[in-house]
Amino acid sequence: MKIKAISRVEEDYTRECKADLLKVHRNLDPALRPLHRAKEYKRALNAVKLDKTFAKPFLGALEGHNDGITSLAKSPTHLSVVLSGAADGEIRLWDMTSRRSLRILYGHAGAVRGLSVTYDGRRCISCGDDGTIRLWPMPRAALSEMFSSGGSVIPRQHAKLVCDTKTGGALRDVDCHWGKETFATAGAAVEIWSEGRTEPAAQFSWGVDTVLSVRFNPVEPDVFASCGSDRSIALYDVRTQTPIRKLVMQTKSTKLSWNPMEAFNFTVANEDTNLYSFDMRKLTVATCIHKDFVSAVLDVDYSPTGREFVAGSYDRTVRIFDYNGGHSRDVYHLKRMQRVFCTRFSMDGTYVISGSDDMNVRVWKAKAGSQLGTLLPREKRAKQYRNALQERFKHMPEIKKIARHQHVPKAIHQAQKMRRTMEGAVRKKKANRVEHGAANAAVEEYMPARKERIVAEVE
Amino acid sequence: MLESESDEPEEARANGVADLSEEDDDDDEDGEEMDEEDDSEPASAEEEEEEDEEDEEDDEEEDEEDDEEDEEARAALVSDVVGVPRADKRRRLKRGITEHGREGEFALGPAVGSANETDLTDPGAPPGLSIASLMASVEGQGAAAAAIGSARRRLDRLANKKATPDAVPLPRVVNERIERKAAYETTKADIAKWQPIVKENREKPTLNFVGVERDKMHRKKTLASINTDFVPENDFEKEIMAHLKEANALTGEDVERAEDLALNELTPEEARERRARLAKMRNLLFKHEMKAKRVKAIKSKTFHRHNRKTGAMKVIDGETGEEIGDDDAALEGLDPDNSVEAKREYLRAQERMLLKHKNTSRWAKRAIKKGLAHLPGTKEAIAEQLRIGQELKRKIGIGGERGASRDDDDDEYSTDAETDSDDDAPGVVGGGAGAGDVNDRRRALAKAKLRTMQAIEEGAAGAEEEGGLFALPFMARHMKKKREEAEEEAKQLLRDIERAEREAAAGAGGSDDDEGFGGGLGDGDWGKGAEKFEETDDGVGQRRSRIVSFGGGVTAGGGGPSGNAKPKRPPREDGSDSENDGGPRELGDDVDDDDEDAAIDRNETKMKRGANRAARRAAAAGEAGDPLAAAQVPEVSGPATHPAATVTVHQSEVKELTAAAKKSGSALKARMAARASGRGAVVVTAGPKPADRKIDMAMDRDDDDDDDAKNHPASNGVADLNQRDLLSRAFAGDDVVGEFEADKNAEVTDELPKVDVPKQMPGWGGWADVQAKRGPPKWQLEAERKARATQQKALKARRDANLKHVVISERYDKKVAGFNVEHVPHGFDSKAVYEGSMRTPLGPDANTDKSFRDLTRPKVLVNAGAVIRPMTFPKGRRPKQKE
Repeated sequence: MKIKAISRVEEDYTRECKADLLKVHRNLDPALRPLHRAKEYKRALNAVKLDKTFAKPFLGALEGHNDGITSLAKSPTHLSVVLSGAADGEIRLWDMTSRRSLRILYGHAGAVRGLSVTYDGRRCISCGDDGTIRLWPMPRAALSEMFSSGGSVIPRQHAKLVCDTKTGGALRDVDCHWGKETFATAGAAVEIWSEGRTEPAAQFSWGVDTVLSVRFNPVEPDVFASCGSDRSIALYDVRTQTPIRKLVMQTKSTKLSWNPMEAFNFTVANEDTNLYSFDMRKLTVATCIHKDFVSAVLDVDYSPTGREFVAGSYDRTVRIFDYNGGHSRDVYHLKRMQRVFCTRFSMDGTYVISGSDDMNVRVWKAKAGSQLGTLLPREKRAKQYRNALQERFKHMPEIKKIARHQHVPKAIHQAQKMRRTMEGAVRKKKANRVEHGAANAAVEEYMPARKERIVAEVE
Repeated sequence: MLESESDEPEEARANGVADLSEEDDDDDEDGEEMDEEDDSEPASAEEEEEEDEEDEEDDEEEDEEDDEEDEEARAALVSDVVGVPRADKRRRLKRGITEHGREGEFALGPAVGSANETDLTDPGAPPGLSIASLMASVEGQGAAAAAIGSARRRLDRLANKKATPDAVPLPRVVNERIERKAAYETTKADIAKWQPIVKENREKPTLNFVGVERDKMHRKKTLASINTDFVPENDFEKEIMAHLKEANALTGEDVERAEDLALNELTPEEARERRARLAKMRNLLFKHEMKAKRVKAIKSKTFHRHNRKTGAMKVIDGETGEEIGDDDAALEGLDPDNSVEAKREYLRAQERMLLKHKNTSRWAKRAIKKGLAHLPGTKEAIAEQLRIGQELKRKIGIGGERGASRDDDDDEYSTDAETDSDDDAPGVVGGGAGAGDVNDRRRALAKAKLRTMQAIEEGAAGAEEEGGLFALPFMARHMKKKREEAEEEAKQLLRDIERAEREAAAGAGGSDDDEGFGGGLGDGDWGKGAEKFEETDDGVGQRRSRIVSFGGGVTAGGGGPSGNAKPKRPPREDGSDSENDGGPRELGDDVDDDDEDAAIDRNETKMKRGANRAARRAAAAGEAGDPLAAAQVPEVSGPATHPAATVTVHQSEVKELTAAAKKSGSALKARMAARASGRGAVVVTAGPKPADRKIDMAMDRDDDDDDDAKNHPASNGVADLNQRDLLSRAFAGDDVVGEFEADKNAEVTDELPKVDVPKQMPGWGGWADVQAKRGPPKWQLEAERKARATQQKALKARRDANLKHVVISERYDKKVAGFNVEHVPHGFDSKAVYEGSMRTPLGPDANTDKSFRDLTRPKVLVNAGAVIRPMTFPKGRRPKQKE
């Protein structure tokens, strides 16, 4: 026979000091809480309102460039290192913690179009309109510089190695291999270079005018992809030394980014205001279309967690999307922020960096309402509870309305309205054609949106 | 092994060359040549013969020998018969070799690449370079043949093995495509090894980077930590420390200060200033871009013409880089020579476009609307505004040299009429421009004077130039006379103008007095409006209108049209039409005003009459009893289903009662009111609650005695009634069930979907007996039937359709809707699944600590400040092998 005795240990109920919280014992019987759902709904509502109230994503602007920012690069090993290249050929190295530029790398005659840091974070490579590729040892600023009060003249630095492109013309992009000392440049053709050599190791061209961007796959590092001015997205393999597949879309893709957690998935920024996610094994259909911009999308970069990415557009906004989200999770804009030419997600997935035409590099939070800095365990739990509540009740009309609301500048709002009208007109026209057309008109007209913008997959 | 086998292109080339060379040799073989190109197998029949002859002496090929022997025998026979000496073997051979001899770097013999012995043996073999044809050139030389004898034997053996050459390679494009395809398939298969990992990660409720990244975290050493930790240990360090102390560079701050001083070539202030300037310029550029875009979007041609002329909204010219953004800049950017004129032109255009001074301001509108326009201060202010507007819009005399072109310009705009009139009648101008503008008048006079002078001068100048017919003496005399007359006239005019000028100068001070409303022709509508306001405000006006309203009661039809018949005059804001009329117009204006007033009065009268009529009708309805209202009353007040209620109601009281009932929303109150009036029993409401009913019963007991007696004759005297009877008697006359049903019916009907049934218009389709007999048309019946069916369906679909004693409201509740999701959200299979996901609470007050943590764990867990490296393939896992 088992006897259950009621017992009470004195220690459990004694506070060691006055600041300790008293342990509260609750009866967890759900029957005693008939209104828990209404209560939690209210809490969720408050949470979502708080989230919007405290959404202050802008952290600061890095000032110093004298022309529009055309390229950005983050170091894969150091969080505080960011490089930015401007249209006047100046490259600046920034220290994110102190928000100051530590070095000026100069030598480019035209705009700096591509910037990339090697996988070990020791060197950075830049290329630009002057058709040269410059290799710089990553400058290490002295600690004293980082912690000085400022006001001193920023030291300048020359490139260690300068190579000229062999295909002629300007260079549009550069990207480093994620495991070797190799990098690829995009210009009249794609060239593969080995560090320390002035001649390209390989050259790929596949019936294209200009290659606009090139990006290595971080997970499967020998695969890389490029976007071309012939509206193509091409895949290459360094091992087989050939381009492997090409996809032609209706409009030009500007930039591309691989998902660092999913080897075969990548997202392209397109000039038709959308972003398209693809599985490289099946290019005939996009896995997701990410809408919301009202002008050409100019850059895209994945968060290292692979769950979200940031994109910047010509419409002067930066938007953050979930990797499978059809619409943006957040939109960032400022009164004085101009066309956004480049965006990057920081390597810890917490910050977003954008470079725009107004000569500023801006730093944002990746989650607008998040509180940065160390949280007490209790605060952390409360935050997680709030987030969980929001997640649970996100389909409720009121909460959905608040959570989905994004304030945008008037110009963009109007452009959105215009786009909606135009889309409506197209839809109506389609419906009319189907109604009055041939029997199979519906099949021809109603192509899935994910296939609609794809022209061909070229072998 | 064999070079000939691998070098297909060479072979092909050799083939071609051989053909060519052969063509040179014998022209009559053209037809065969063509064939050969297409299909070389049957083509070379003749060649075979030749070769046979050439290789006559080759006795090593055994299969050939028989043929050769035959050939030889035949040749011998022929020669014997004909008597011709047999051809020298040597010569014939030579002929064969000649071709080989001509062979060079670019030409091969005819045999090369064509069908040969090997082919003969194997007709199915493809044409190509053969060993035999290659060896042909080395043959014949005795010593050489002996030297290569063994090699040759081996080659022959090989040739007999029927080694076939490779096929022609594919075109480069095709080849590359195949390569790409293969490479893609390989890469695809290779990358598919990530599939299970990706799937796993996606399905994880929480993607955790914390454990993985913690070790890799790059910790930054701070200056402070280094400083605090550092202790000079050895001699070297100690010595350096001492030196540093001596050099005043011990701390970071000292070093920094020193560095700052050293690197102070370009002051940071300067750099910052420059940057700020650049930023501003860039911002301005953007703003201007926006402005230009807006201007470009304007479709009005007139606007653009103006814009081009005035440069008010000039967009940056790419070449010059000249920026003329806003108004002042536009003025500044104009030519210095005619800047005053241009400015005036610009202001004029601006005024014409913006209508700034035309009482369009909020203040002026409000003043006019509120009737404040006649107040002394306001009036003047408004007049001033209008005057400024007029002045700005006026085209003022510029130099005579620009006159002609300006007149042309004027013709484009109809509103410029006043400028023309200025030229014609300078004296009237002042009145037209709001009567007070002395400067304007002066300017106009000056202009007129100038013109006159010019005319005189021109006349004098033109006299000498004339020739031809006009040079004749009598013509000249006549012309001179005429000119003199004209001159005299001009002079007279000049004098007049001068006098007018003097007058104008004298009258400058007092001219403000003339600026009254009556005299001011250009003072716009508001002046008249104010007059009207004044008139209607005073008692006389009202009295007059009242008189009209009573007097004109009968001839109402006559008053209206006459009031409306007078066409409204177009608004005279710019005063252009009245200008030409001059003074006498004022009188007419007054008359007009009176007419207008009268018309307004008449309109008012009409309105008042309408109101009176309505009021009278209402009163009549109240007193005499509106049949419609009377008909409605019982419907509202008493249900038809109530059998016991005797309705003896005075209509007016019923109205009051129903109103009261509606107001309070309680039937009880209404009944109380009815009883208080002492007018007998009135049952107003249809379905009171049983409790209410009881109270009523108790209160009604006295009054309803006769009713009870009628309904229950056995009520008095019978003692042994059972409970049921008692109860039934107690609630006699209470048809609770019936009332409930009626209630339910009413509520349900209210909630049913409303269906519109098209009906014929009253009077349509019923004008003849035939039509009346026919009844309503088919379509109407059909529509009614459909509507009924819809309602029946909705009725059946109700949740309380089969519940007799229950009413379940299905009315859409807005407040509750806020807590409900309209559709099952994406990702949930059914409603039940979604409900299930919401069932358990999340909070710590209803969960244990552990389950609370589990339930609220975020989707992605990262370490703050740790670099997250791209995914690597797990070591333990093997990619799935493809078979």
